[in-house]
Amino acid sequence: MTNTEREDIWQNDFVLLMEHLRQTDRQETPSVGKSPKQLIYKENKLRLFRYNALNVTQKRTPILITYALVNRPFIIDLEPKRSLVMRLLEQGYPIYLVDWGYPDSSDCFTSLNDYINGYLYRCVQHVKRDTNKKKIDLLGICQGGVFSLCYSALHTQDIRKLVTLVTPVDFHAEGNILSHWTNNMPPNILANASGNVPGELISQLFKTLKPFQLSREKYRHMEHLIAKKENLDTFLRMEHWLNSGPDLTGLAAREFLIDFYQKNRLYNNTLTINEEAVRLKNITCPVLNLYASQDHIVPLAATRALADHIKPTLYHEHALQGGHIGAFTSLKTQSKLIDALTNWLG
Amino acid sequence: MTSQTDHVFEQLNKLMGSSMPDEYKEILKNFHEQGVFYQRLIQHTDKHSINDVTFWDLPSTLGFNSSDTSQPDWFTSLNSGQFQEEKNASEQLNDVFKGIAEKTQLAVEKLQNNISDINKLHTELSQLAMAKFNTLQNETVEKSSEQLCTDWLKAGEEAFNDMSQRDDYIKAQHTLLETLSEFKNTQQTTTEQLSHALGFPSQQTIQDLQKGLQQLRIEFAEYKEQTATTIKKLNTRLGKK
Repeated sequence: MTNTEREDIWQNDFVLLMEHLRQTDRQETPSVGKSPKQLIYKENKLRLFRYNALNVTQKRTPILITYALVNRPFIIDLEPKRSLVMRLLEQGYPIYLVDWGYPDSSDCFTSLNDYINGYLYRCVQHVKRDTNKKKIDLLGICQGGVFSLCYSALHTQDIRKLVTLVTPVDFHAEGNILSHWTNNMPPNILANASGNVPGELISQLFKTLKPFQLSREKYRHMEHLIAKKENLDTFLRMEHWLNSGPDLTGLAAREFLIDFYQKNRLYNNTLTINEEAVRLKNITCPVLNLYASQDHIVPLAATRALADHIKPTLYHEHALQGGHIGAFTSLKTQSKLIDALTNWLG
Repeated sequence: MTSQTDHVFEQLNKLMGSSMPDEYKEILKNFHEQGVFYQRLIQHTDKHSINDVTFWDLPSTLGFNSSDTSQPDWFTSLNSGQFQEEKNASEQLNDVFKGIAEKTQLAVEKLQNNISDINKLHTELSQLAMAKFNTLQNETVEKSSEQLCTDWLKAGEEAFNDMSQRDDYIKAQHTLLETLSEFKNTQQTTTEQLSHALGFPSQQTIQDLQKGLQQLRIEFAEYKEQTATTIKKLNTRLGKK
Protein backbone atom coordinates (compact mmCIF):
# COMPACT_ATOMS: atom_id res chain seq x y z
CA MET A 1 0.00 0.00 0.00
CA THR A 2 1.37 3.44 -0.92
CA ASN A 3 1.50 6.32 1.53
CA THR A 4 -1.17 8.17 -0.47
CA GLU A 5 -3.52 5.17 -0.33
CA ARG A 6 -2.94 4.86 3.40
CA GLU A 7 -3.58 8.56 3.89
CA ASP A 8 -6.83 8.28 1.91
CA ILE A 9 -8.03 5.42 4.13
CA TRP A 10 -7.24 7.39 7.29
CA GLN A 11 -9.01 10.47 5.95
CA ASN A 12 -12.08 8.47 4.97
CA ASP A 13 -12.19 6.89 8.42
CA PHE A 14 -11.79 10.26 10.08
CA VAL A 15 -14.60 11.77 8.01
CA LEU A 16 -16.82 8.86 9.03
CA LEU A 17 -15.90 9.36 12.68
CA MET A 18 -16.81 13.05 12.42
CA GLU A 19 -20.13 12.11 10.83
CA HIS A 20 -20.89 9.59 13.58
CA LEU A 21 -20.20 12.16 16.28
CA ARG A 22 -22.18 14.86 14.50
CA GLN A 23 -25.36 12.82 14.33
CA THR A 24 -28.21 14.31 16.26
CA ASP A 25 -28.64 11.34 18.58
CA ARG A 26 -25.13 11.96 19.78
CA GLN A 27 -25.60 15.40 21.19
CA GLU A 28 -24.97 13.95 24.63
CA THR A 29 -22.29 11.54 25.79
CA PRO A 30 -23.67 7.98 26.07
CA SER A 31 -25.10 7.43 29.53
CA VAL A 32 -23.02 5.77 32.25
CA GLY A 33 -23.83 4.18 35.62
CA LYS A 34 -27.43 3.56 34.63
CA SER A 35 -28.26 0.40 36.56
CA PRO A 36 -31.32 1.39 38.64
CA LYS A 37 -30.41 2.40 42.19
CA GLN A 38 -31.74 4.30 45.20
CA LEU A 39 -29.96 6.94 47.21
CA ILE A 40 -30.10 5.76 50.82
CA TYR A 41 -27.68 8.13 52.53
CA LYS A 42 -25.89 11.38 51.80
CA GLU A 43 -23.36 13.33 53.76
CA ASN A 44 -21.63 16.39 52.34
CA LYS A 45 -20.55 15.25 48.83
CA LEU A 46 -20.73 11.54 49.63
CA ARG A 47 -23.63 9.44 48.36
CA LEU A 48 -24.48 5.86 49.31
CA PHE A 49 -26.58 3.93 46.79
CA ARG A 50 -28.46 0.66 46.95
CA TYR A 51 -28.93 -1.02 43.56
CA ASN A 52 -32.37 -2.40 42.77
CA ALA A 53 -32.46 -6.18 43.18
CA LEU A 54 -33.25 -8.32 40.15
CA ASN A 55 -35.90 -10.98 40.17
CA VAL A 56 -33.57 -13.77 41.27
CA THR A 57 -33.02 -15.60 44.55
CA GLN A 58 -31.32 -13.16 46.88
CA LYS A 59 -28.09 -13.86 48.78
CA ARG A 60 -28.07 -13.08 52.47
CA THR A 61 -25.05 -10.82 52.88
CA PRO A 62 -24.89 -7.46 51.12
CA ILE A 63 -21.76 -6.25 49.36
CA LEU A 64 -20.60 -2.67 49.84
CA ILE A 65 -18.35 -1.50 47.00
CA THR A 66 -15.78 1.24 47.58
CA TYR A 67 -13.84 2.72 44.71
CA ALA A 68 -10.80 5.01 44.68
CA LEU A 69 -11.04 8.73 45.41
CA VAL A 70 -9.17 9.57 42.21
CA ASN A 71 -11.79 8.43 39.69
CA ARG A 72 -15.56 8.18 39.49
CA PRO A 73 -17.09 4.88 40.62
CA PHE A 74 -19.38 4.54 37.59
CA ILE A 75 -16.59 2.54 35.95
CA ILE A 76 -18.07 -0.50 37.75
CA ASP A 77 -21.35 0.15 35.92
CA LEU A 78 -19.98 1.65 32.72
CA GLU A 79 -22.65 0.15 30.44
CA PRO A 80 -24.99 -2.83 30.72
CA LYS A 81 -22.55 -5.22 29.06
CA ARG A 82 -19.56 -4.01 31.08
CA SER A 83 -21.12 -3.74 34.48
CA LEU A 84 -19.61 -5.48 37.49
CA VAL A 85 -22.65 -4.27 39.43
CA MET A 86 -25.13 -5.86 37.01
CA ARG A 87 -23.27 -9.18 36.95
CA LEU A 88 -23.34 -9.30 40.77
CA LEU A 89 -27.04 -8.35 40.84
CA GLU A 90 -27.71 -11.20 38.40
CA GLN A 91 -26.17 -13.55 40.96
CA GLY A 92 -28.54 -12.23 43.63
CA TYR A 93 -26.12 -10.16 45.71
CA PRO A 94 -27.57 -7.06 47.36
CA ILE A 95 -25.20 -4.33 46.12
CA TYR A 96 -24.37 -0.99 47.73
CA LEU A 97 -21.98 1.62 46.37
CA VAL A 98 -20.09 4.47 48.01
CA ASP A 99 -19.72 7.51 45.73
CA TRP A 100 -17.20 9.90 47.31
CA GLY A 101 -18.38 12.75 45.06
CA TYR A 102 -16.50 15.84 43.91
CA PRO A 103 -14.74 17.61 46.80
CA ASP A 104 -14.28 21.38 46.72
CA SER A 105 -12.10 23.83 48.64
CA SER A 106 -14.26 23.48 51.77
CA ASP A 107 -13.20 19.82 51.92
CA CYS A 108 -9.44 20.40 51.75
CA PHE A 109 -8.97 19.35 55.39
CA THR A 110 -10.75 16.02 54.97
CA SER A 111 -8.30 13.43 56.26
CA LEU A 112 -7.87 9.70 55.72
CA ASN A 113 -9.38 9.28 59.17
CA ASP A 114 -12.47 11.17 57.99
CA TYR A 115 -12.73 8.90 54.95
CA ILE A 116 -12.15 5.59 56.74
CA ASN A 117 -13.48 6.08 60.27
CA GLY A 118 -16.01 8.71 59.24
CA TYR A 119 -17.60 8.38 55.82
CA LEU A 120 -16.90 4.68 55.27
CA TYR A 121 -17.82 3.78 58.86
CA ARG A 122 -21.20 5.50 58.56
CA CYS A 123 -21.86 3.89 55.15
CA VAL A 124 -21.16 0.45 56.62
CA GLN A 125 -23.53 1.15 59.52
CA HIS A 126 -26.23 2.28 57.08
CA VAL A 127 -25.88 -0.89 55.01
CA LYS A 128 -26.01 -3.01 58.18
CA ARG A 129 -29.20 -1.27 59.31
CA ASP A 130 -30.72 -1.36 55.82
CA THR A 131 -30.23 -5.12 55.59
CA ASN A 132 -30.61 -6.06 59.26
CA LYS A 133 -27.17 -7.64 59.22
CA LYS A 134 -24.45 -7.50 61.86
CA LYS A 135 -21.72 -8.02 59.28
CA ILE A 136 -21.45 -7.21 55.59
CA ASP A 137 -19.05 -8.00 52.76
CA LEU A 138 -16.73 -5.26 51.57
CA LEU A 139 -15.37 -5.04 48.01
CA GLY A 140 -12.65 -2.41 47.63
CA ILE A 141 -11.17 -1.47 44.29
CA CYS A 142 -7.70 0.10 43.89
CA GLN A 143 -7.41 2.85 46.53
CA GLY A 144 -10.87 1.80 47.71
CA GLY A 145 -9.23 -1.56 48.43
CA VAL A 146 -6.60 0.16 50.57
CA PHE A 147 -9.36 1.91 52.52
CA SER A 148 -11.23 -1.39 52.86
CA LEU A 149 -8.12 -3.11 54.24
CA CYS A 150 -7.66 -0.33 56.81
CA TYR A 151 -11.34 -0.48 57.69
CA SER A 152 -11.32 -4.25 58.10
CA ALA A 153 -8.27 -4.04 60.35
CA LEU A 154 -9.87 -1.34 62.51
CA HIS A 155 -13.50 -2.53 62.56
CA THR A 156 -13.26 -6.30 62.53
CA GLN A 157 -16.77 -6.67 63.95
CA ASP A 158 -18.39 -5.19 60.82
CA ILE A 159 -16.95 -7.30 58.03
CA ARG A 160 -17.85 -10.89 57.14
CA LYS A 161 -15.65 -11.18 54.05
CA LEU A 162 -13.30 -8.76 52.32
CA VAL A 163 -12.51 -8.61 48.60
CA THR A 164 -9.69 -6.44 47.32
CA LEU A 165 -9.46 -5.81 43.59
CA VAL A 166 -6.30 -4.37 41.94
CA THR A 167 -5.25 -3.04 45.34
CA PRO A 168 -1.71 -1.96 46.22
CA VAL A 169 -0.30 -3.05 49.59
CA ASP A 170 3.49 -2.87 49.28
CA PHE A 171 4.02 0.56 47.73
CA HIS A 172 7.77 -0.01 47.49
CA ALA A 173 7.50 -3.27 45.56
CA GLU A 174 9.65 -3.60 42.46
CA GLY A 175 8.26 -1.97 39.35
CA ASN A 176 6.18 0.64 41.13
CA ILE A 177 7.10 3.68 39.02
CA LEU A 178 4.66 5.94 40.86
CA SER A 179 6.45 5.18 44.08
CA HIS A 180 9.85 6.05 42.51
CA TRP A 181 8.50 9.37 41.30
CA THR A 182 6.76 10.35 44.51
CA ASN A 183 9.54 9.37 46.88
CA ASN A 184 10.85 12.59 48.50
CA MET A 185 8.28 14.66 46.63
CA PRO A 186 7.31 17.76 48.68
CA PRO A 187 3.84 16.79 49.96
CA ASN A 188 2.28 20.19 49.37
CA ILE A 189 3.43 20.69 45.81
CA LEU A 190 0.49 18.94 44.18
CA ALA A 191 -2.25 21.04 45.75
CA ASN A 192 -3.66 24.07 43.93
CA ALA A 193 -5.20 27.27 45.29
CA SER A 194 -8.27 25.37 46.52
CA GLY A 195 -6.02 23.31 48.79
CA ASN A 196 -6.89 20.17 46.82
CA VAL A 197 -4.97 18.15 44.22
CA PRO A 198 -6.50 18.72 40.76
CA GLY A 199 -8.06 15.66 39.12
CA GLU A 200 -6.41 16.63 35.83
CA LEU A 201 -3.01 16.36 37.47
CA ILE A 202 -3.73 12.84 38.71
CA SER A 203 -5.05 11.88 35.29
CA GLN A 204 -1.90 13.29 33.66
CA LEU A 205 0.27 11.39 36.14
CA PHE A 206 -1.38 8.09 35.24
CA LYS A 207 -1.08 8.89 31.53
CA THR A 208 2.62 9.54 31.97
CA LEU A 209 3.15 5.96 33.17
CA LYS A 210 2.73 4.83 29.54
CA PRO A 211 3.05 8.10 27.63
CA PHE A 212 3.35 6.86 24.06
CA GLN A 213 0.64 4.24 24.44
CA LEU A 214 -1.91 6.41 26.23
CA SER A 215 -1.31 9.70 24.43
CA ARG A 216 -0.82 8.60 20.82
CA GLU A 217 -1.32 4.90 20.16
CA LYS A 218 -4.83 4.75 21.54
CA TYR A 219 -5.93 7.35 18.97
CA ARG A 220 -4.33 5.59 16.01
CA HIS A 221 -7.05 3.13 15.06
CA MET A 222 -10.55 4.22 14.19
CA GLU A 223 -11.77 1.23 12.16
CA HIS A 224 -13.43 -0.56 15.09
CA LEU A 225 -15.10 2.67 16.26
CA ILE A 226 -16.70 3.53 12.96
CA ALA A 227 -17.61 -0.10 12.23
CA LYS A 228 -20.01 -0.50 15.14
CA LYS A 229 -22.03 2.06 17.12
CA GLU A 230 -21.62 -0.05 20.24
CA ASN A 231 -17.81 0.18 20.02
CA LEU A 232 -17.91 3.95 19.67
CA ASP A 233 -20.31 4.22 22.62
CA THR A 234 -17.97 2.20 24.83
CA PHE A 235 -15.01 4.31 23.73
CA LEU A 236 -16.89 7.54 24.48
CA ARG A 237 -17.96 6.29 27.89
CA MET A 238 -14.41 5.30 28.75
CA GLU A 239 -13.06 8.68 27.61
CA HIS A 240 -15.75 10.38 29.69
CA TRP A 241 -14.67 8.36 32.72
CA LEU A 242 -10.98 9.10 32.15
CA ASN A 243 -11.67 12.83 31.94
CA SER A 244 -14.05 13.19 34.86
CA GLY A 245 -11.74 12.46 37.78
CA PRO A 246 -12.52 14.46 40.93
CA ASP A 247 -9.95 16.55 42.78
CA LEU A 248 -8.33 14.90 45.77
CA THR A 249 -8.83 16.58 49.13
CA GLY A 250 -5.51 18.18 50.06
CA LEU A 251 -5.03 16.65 53.49
CA ALA A 252 -5.99 13.09 52.54
CA ALA A 253 -3.77 13.32 49.43
CA ARG A 254 -0.81 14.47 51.56
CA GLU A 255 -1.41 11.72 54.09
CA PHE A 256 -1.72 9.09 51.36
CA LEU A 257 1.43 10.32 49.64
CA ILE A 258 3.50 10.29 52.83
CA ASP A 259 2.09 7.27 54.68
CA PHE A 260 1.59 4.94 51.74
CA TYR A 261 3.78 5.98 48.80
CA GLN A 262 6.74 7.42 50.69
CA LYS A 263 6.83 5.58 54.03
CA ASN A 264 5.02 2.39 52.95
CA ARG A 265 3.47 2.31 56.42
CA LEU A 266 0.62 -0.13 55.70
CA TYR A 267 3.05 -2.81 54.59
CA ASN A 268 5.68 -1.92 57.21
CA ASN A 269 3.20 -2.12 60.09
CA THR A 270 3.75 1.49 61.12
CA LEU A 271 0.49 3.05 59.97
CA THR A 272 -1.69 4.88 62.46
CA ILE A 273 -5.03 6.49 61.72
CA ASN A 274 -6.51 8.73 64.39
CA GLU A 275 -3.74 7.52 66.73
CA GLU A 276 -4.82 3.92 66.29
CA ALA A 277 -2.45 1.36 64.84
CA VAL A 278 -3.62 -0.17 61.55
CA ARG A 279 -2.24 -3.71 61.33
CA LEU A 280 -3.23 -6.01 58.50
CA LYS A 281 -2.60 -9.03 60.72
CA ASN A 282 -5.58 -7.85 62.81
CA ILE A 283 -7.94 -8.64 59.94
CA THR A 284 -9.99 -11.59 61.15
CA CYS A 285 -12.26 -12.16 58.14
CA PRO A 286 -11.44 -14.18 55.03
CA VAL A 287 -9.78 -12.06 52.31
CA LEU A 288 -9.91 -12.58 48.54
CA ASN A 289 -7.25 -10.61 46.69
CA LEU A 290 -8.02 -10.24 42.96
CA TYR A 291 -5.22 -8.80 40.87
CA ALA A 292 -4.60 -8.06 37.20
CA SER A 293 -1.77 -9.81 35.43
CA GLN A 294 -0.92 -6.79 33.23
CA ASP A 295 -1.51 -4.00 35.73
CA HIS A 296 0.83 -1.06 34.96
CA ILE A 297 -0.39 0.94 37.99
CA VAL A 298 -0.35 -1.73 40.67
CA PRO A 299 2.45 -4.23 39.96
CA LEU A 300 1.86 -7.87 40.91
CA ALA A 301 4.38 -7.77 43.74
CA ALA A 302 2.68 -4.68 45.21
CA THR A 303 -0.70 -6.38 45.53
CA ARG A 304 0.35 -9.97 46.24
CA ALA A 305 2.33 -8.64 49.22
CA LEU A 306 -0.96 -8.80 51.10
CA ALA A 307 -0.23 -12.49 51.63
CA ASP A 308 2.68 -11.50 53.89
CA HIS A 309 0.27 -10.10 56.47
CA ILE A 310 -2.95 -12.09 56.37
CA LYS A 311 -3.17 -15.48 58.05
CA PRO A 312 -2.72 -18.16 55.35
CA THR A 313 -5.98 -19.83 56.37
CA LEU A 314 -7.85 -16.59 55.65
CA TYR A 315 -6.04 -15.48 52.51
CA HIS A 316 -6.95 -16.34 48.94
CA GLU A 317 -5.82 -14.73 45.72
CA HIS A 318 -6.84 -14.97 42.11
CA ALA A 319 -5.20 -13.59 38.97
CA LEU A 320 -7.29 -11.91 36.26
CA GLN A 321 -6.11 -11.44 32.71
CA GLY A 322 -5.89 -7.79 31.75
CA GLY A 323 -4.82 -4.40 32.99
CA HIS A 324 -5.80 -2.23 35.94
CA ILE A 325 -9.22 -1.35 34.53
CA GLY A 326 -9.67 -4.19 32.02
CA ALA A 327 -9.62 -6.64 34.95
CA PHE A 328 -13.23 -5.70 35.71
CA THR A 329 -14.45 -3.98 32.53
CA SER A 330 -13.20 -6.38 29.86
CA LEU A 331 -15.82 -8.70 28.41
CA LYS A 332 -13.23 -11.48 28.28
CA THR A 333 -12.36 -11.24 31.98
CA GLN A 334 -15.81 -10.49 33.34
CA SER A 335 -17.11 -14.06 33.58
CA LYS A 336 -13.90 -15.24 35.25
CA LEU A 337 -14.09 -12.40 37.75
CA ILE A 338 -17.71 -13.21 38.59
CA ASP A 339 -16.93 -16.94 38.88
CA ALA A 340 -14.08 -16.17 41.29
CA LEU A 341 -16.28 -13.88 43.36
CA THR A 342 -19.34 -16.13 43.53
CA ASN A 343 -17.30 -19.26 44.29
CA TRP A 344 -15.56 -17.51 47.15
CA LEU A 345 -18.34 -15.36 48.56
CA GLY A 346 -20.88 -18.14 48.42
CA MET B 1 -1.98 19.30 0.50
CA THR B 2 -4.68 17.41 -1.40
CA SER B 3 -8.26 18.57 -1.84
CA GLN B 4 -9.30 15.62 0.31
CA THR B 5 -7.07 16.94 3.13
CA ASP B 6 -8.58 20.40 2.66
CA HIS B 7 -12.02 18.85 2.91
CA VAL B 8 -11.15 17.08 6.17
CA PHE B 9 -9.69 20.26 7.70
CA GLU B 10 -12.71 22.23 6.62
CA GLN B 11 -15.12 19.73 8.19
CA LEU B 12 -13.11 19.51 11.39
CA ASN B 13 -12.91 23.29 11.77
CA LYS B 14 -16.63 23.55 11.20
CA LEU B 15 -17.30 21.00 13.92
CA MET B 16 -14.92 22.74 16.32
CA GLY B 17 -17.06 25.85 16.00
CA SER B 18 -20.33 23.96 16.31
CA SER B 19 -22.44 23.13 19.37
CA MET B 20 -21.05 19.58 19.47
CA PRO B 21 -20.22 18.50 23.06
CA ASP B 22 -16.70 19.58 24.08
CA GLU B 23 -15.81 15.99 24.94
CA TYR B 24 -16.38 15.00 21.30
CA LYS B 25 -14.37 17.96 20.04
CA GLU B 26 -11.48 16.88 22.25
CA ILE B 27 -11.70 13.30 20.96
CA LEU B 28 -11.77 14.44 17.32
CA LYS B 29 -8.82 16.74 17.99
CA ASN B 30 -6.86 13.86 19.50
CA PHE B 31 -7.62 11.52 16.60
CA HIS B 32 -6.73 14.21 14.11
CA GLU B 33 -3.46 15.18 15.82
CA GLN B 34 -2.35 11.59 16.17
CA GLY B 35 -3.41 10.78 12.59
CA VAL B 36 -1.23 13.61 11.31
CA PHE B 37 1.59 12.45 13.58
CA TYR B 38 1.52 8.85 12.31
CA GLN B 39 1.34 9.98 8.69
CA ARG B 40 4.42 12.12 9.27
CA LEU B 41 6.16 9.20 11.00
CA ILE B 42 5.47 6.82 8.13
CA GLN B 43 6.53 9.36 5.51
CA HIS B 44 9.75 10.18 7.34
CA THR B 45 10.86 6.61 7.74
CA ASP B 46 13.42 6.24 5.01
CA LYS B 47 14.53 2.68 4.28
CA HIS B 48 13.17 1.68 7.67
CA SER B 49 15.27 4.03 9.75
CA ILE B 50 14.64 7.44 11.24
CA ASN B 51 17.03 10.24 12.06
CA ASP B 52 14.55 12.61 13.66
CA VAL B 53 14.39 12.35 17.45
CA THR B 54 11.33 14.58 17.72
CA PHE B 55 9.07 11.60 17.09
CA TRP B 56 9.68 10.58 20.70
CA ASP B 57 9.61 14.05 22.24
CA LEU B 58 7.94 13.47 25.61
CA PRO B 59 6.41 16.92 26.24
CA SER B 60 4.77 17.01 22.81
CA THR B 61 3.67 13.37 23.18
CA LEU B 62 1.89 14.38 26.38
CA GLY B 63 0.37 17.38 24.61
CA PHE B 64 2.42 20.09 26.35
CA ASN B 65 3.84 21.55 23.17
CA SER B 66 0.72 21.47 21.05
CA SER B 67 0.33 24.49 18.84
CA ASP B 68 -2.98 25.50 20.35
CA THR B 69 -2.31 24.68 24.00
CA SER B 70 0.68 26.39 25.53
CA GLN B 71 0.22 24.70 28.91
CA PRO B 72 -2.14 21.99 30.07
CA ASP B 73 -4.87 23.20 32.41
CA TRP B 74 -3.56 21.22 35.36
CA PHE B 75 -0.16 22.93 35.14
CA THR B 76 -1.67 26.37 35.30
CA SER B 77 -4.05 25.33 38.07
CA LEU B 78 -1.10 23.84 39.99
CA ASN B 79 0.34 27.30 40.38
CA SER B 80 -3.03 28.91 40.95
CA GLY B 81 -2.99 29.93 37.30
CA GLN B 82 -0.98 32.97 38.26
CA PHE B 83 2.55 32.19 37.09
CA GLN B 84 2.86 35.10 34.69
CA GLU B 85 0.32 37.28 36.40
CA GLU B 86 2.00 36.83 39.74
CA LYS B 87 5.26 37.95 38.23
CA ASN B 88 3.55 41.08 36.95
CA ALA B 89 1.93 41.61 40.32
CA SER B 90 5.32 41.26 41.99
CA GLU B 91 6.75 43.86 39.63
CA GLN B 92 3.93 46.24 40.36
CA LEU B 93 4.43 45.85 44.07
CA ASN B 94 8.18 45.99 43.82
CA ASP B 95 8.47 48.96 46.16
CA VAL B 96 6.39 47.36 48.84
CA PHE B 97 7.64 43.82 48.52
CA LYS B 98 11.05 44.27 46.99
CA GLY B 99 12.55 41.35 48.88
CA ILE B 100 9.75 39.05 47.85
CA ALA B 101 9.98 40.13 44.23
CA GLU B 102 13.70 39.34 44.25
CA LYS B 103 12.98 35.94 45.74
CA THR B 104 10.39 35.34 43.05
CA GLN B 105 12.88 36.33 40.37
CA LEU B 106 15.43 33.91 41.78
CA ALA B 107 12.84 31.15 41.92
CA VAL B 108 11.89 31.81 38.28
CA GLU B 109 15.55 31.61 37.21
CA LYS B 110 15.99 28.39 39.18
CA LEU B 111 12.85 27.02 37.59
CA GLN B 112 14.15 27.82 34.12
CA ASN B 113 17.41 25.99 34.90
CA ASN B 114 15.51 22.97 36.19
CA ILE B 115 13.34 22.90 33.08
CA SER B 116 16.49 23.09 30.96
CA ASP B 117 17.91 20.05 32.83
CA ILE B 118 14.71 18.10 32.30
CA ASN B 119 14.70 19.05 28.61
CA LYS B 120 18.21 17.60 28.23
CA LEU B 121 17.01 14.33 29.71
CA HIS B 122 13.99 14.35 27.41
CA THR B 123 16.31 14.79 24.43
CA GLU B 124 18.35 11.83 25.70
CA LEU B 125 15.12 9.83 26.00
CA SER B 126 14.23 10.66 22.38
CA GLN B 127 17.69 9.61 21.20
CA LEU B 128 17.48 6.37 23.13
CA ALA B 129 14.03 5.65 21.66
CA MET B 130 15.25 6.44 18.13
CA ALA B 131 18.21 4.06 18.50
CA LYS B 132 15.89 1.33 19.81
CA PHE B 133 13.49 1.94 16.93
CA ASN B 134 16.20 1.67 14.29
CA THR B 135 17.47 -1.55 15.86
CA LEU B 136 13.94 -2.99 15.93
CA GLN B 137 13.34 -2.01 12.30
CA ASN B 138 16.61 -3.62 11.23
CA GLU B 139 15.67 -6.83 13.02
CA THR B 140 12.12 -6.90 11.64
CA VAL B 141 11.41 -9.02 8.60
CA GLU B 142 7.94 -7.57 8.05
CA LYS B 143 8.33 -4.03 6.74
CA SER B 144 4.73 -2.84 6.87
CA SER B 145 3.49 0.50 8.23
CA GLU B 146 1.70 -1.39 10.99
CA GLN B 147 4.97 -2.94 12.09
CA LEU B 148 6.65 0.45 11.87
CA CYS B 149 4.08 1.95 14.25
CA THR B 150 4.39 -1.04 16.58
CA ASP B 151 8.16 -0.60 16.67
CA TRP B 152 7.79 3.15 17.25
CA LEU B 153 5.59 2.46 20.26
CA LYS B 154 7.78 -0.31 21.64
CA ALA B 155 10.91 1.83 21.29
CA GLY B 156 9.24 4.79 23.00
CA GLU B 157 7.78 2.86 25.93
CA GLU B 158 11.00 0.89 26.51
CA ALA B 159 13.13 4.03 26.42
CA PHE B 160 10.73 5.79 28.78
CA ASN B 161 10.70 2.81 31.13
CA ASP B 162 14.51 2.83 31.26
CA MET B 163 14.75 6.59 31.68
CA SER B 164 11.93 7.04 34.18
CA GLN B 165 13.62 4.77 36.70
CA ARG B 166 17.05 6.35 36.35
CA ASP B 167 18.31 8.23 39.40
CA ASP B 168 19.27 11.36 37.46
CA TYR B 169 15.81 11.56 35.86
CA ILE B 170 14.03 11.14 39.18
CA LYS B 171 16.41 13.64 40.81
CA ALA B 172 15.79 16.21 38.07
CA GLN B 173 12.04 15.83 38.51
CA HIS B 174 12.32 16.20 42.28
CA THR B 175 14.51 19.30 41.93
CA LEU B 176 11.92 20.80 39.61
CA LEU B 177 9.15 20.03 42.09
CA GLU B 178 11.16 21.45 44.99
CA THR B 179 11.70 24.67 43.06
CA LEU B 180 8.01 24.81 42.24
CA SER B 181 7.32 24.28 45.92
CA GLU B 182 9.65 27.15 46.89
CA PHE B 183 8.04 29.29 44.23
CA LYS B 184 4.62 28.46 45.59
CA ASN B 185 5.71 29.32 49.13
CA THR B 186 6.98 32.69 47.92
CA GLN B 187 3.65 33.25 46.19
CA GLN B 188 1.81 32.41 49.39
CA THR B 189 3.97 34.80 51.41
CA THR B 190 3.30 37.55 48.88
CA THR B 191 -0.43 36.87 48.88
CA GLU B 192 -0.46 36.79 52.67
CA GLN B 193 1.33 40.12 53.01
CA LEU B 194 -0.81 41.69 50.31
CA SER B 195 -3.98 40.44 52.04
CA HIS B 196 -2.73 41.91 55.30
CA ALA B 197 -1.92 45.28 53.69
CA LEU B 198 -5.35 45.46 52.04
CA GLY B 199 -7.23 44.25 55.10
CA PHE B 200 -8.41 40.99 53.52
CA PRO B 201 -8.76 37.83 55.61
CA SER B 202 -5.49 35.97 55.97
CA GLN B 203 -4.90 32.47 54.62
CA GLN B 204 -4.86 31.29 58.22
CA THR B 205 -8.32 32.77 58.81
CA ILE B 206 -9.65 31.02 55.71
CA GLN B 207 -8.07 27.74 56.78
CA ASP B 208 -9.54 28.09 60.27
CA LEU B 209 -12.96 28.57 58.69
CA GLN B 210 -12.47 25.52 56.45
CA LYS B 211 -11.41 23.42 59.45
CA GLY B 212 -14.35 24.70 61.49
CA LEU B 213 -16.79 23.83 58.71
CA GLN B 214 -15.24 20.40 58.36
CA GLN B 215 -15.54 19.81 62.11
CA LEU B 216 -19.19 20.94 62.12
CA ARG B 217 -20.01 18.59 59.26
CA ILE B 218 -18.39 15.68 61.08
CA GLU B 219 -20.16 16.43 64.37
CA PHE B 220 -23.51 16.69 62.60
CA ALA B 221 -22.93 13.42 60.71
CA GLU B 222 -21.89 11.64 63.93
CA TYR B 223 -24.96 12.98 65.72
CA LYS B 224 -27.20 11.74 62.89
CA GLU B 225 -25.48 8.35 62.99
CA GLN B 226 -25.95 8.03 66.76
CA THR B 227 -29.61 8.99 66.41
CA ALA B 228 -30.16 6.43 63.64
CA THR B 229 -28.49 3.73 65.76
CA THR B 230 -30.68 4.58 68.75
CA ILE B 231 -33.85 4.54 66.65
CA LYS B 232 -32.88 1.18 65.20
CA LYS B 233 -32.29 -0.24 68.69
CA LEU B 234 -35.62 1.12 69.93
CA ASN B 235 -37.45 -0.30 66.94
CA THR B 236 -35.86 -3.68 67.52
CA ARG B 237 -36.90 -3.64 71.18
CA LEU B 238 -40.43 -2.54 70.30
CA GLY B 239 -40.58 -5.25 67.65
CA LYS B 240 -39.62 -7.89 70.22
CA LYS B 241 -42.32 -6.70 72.61
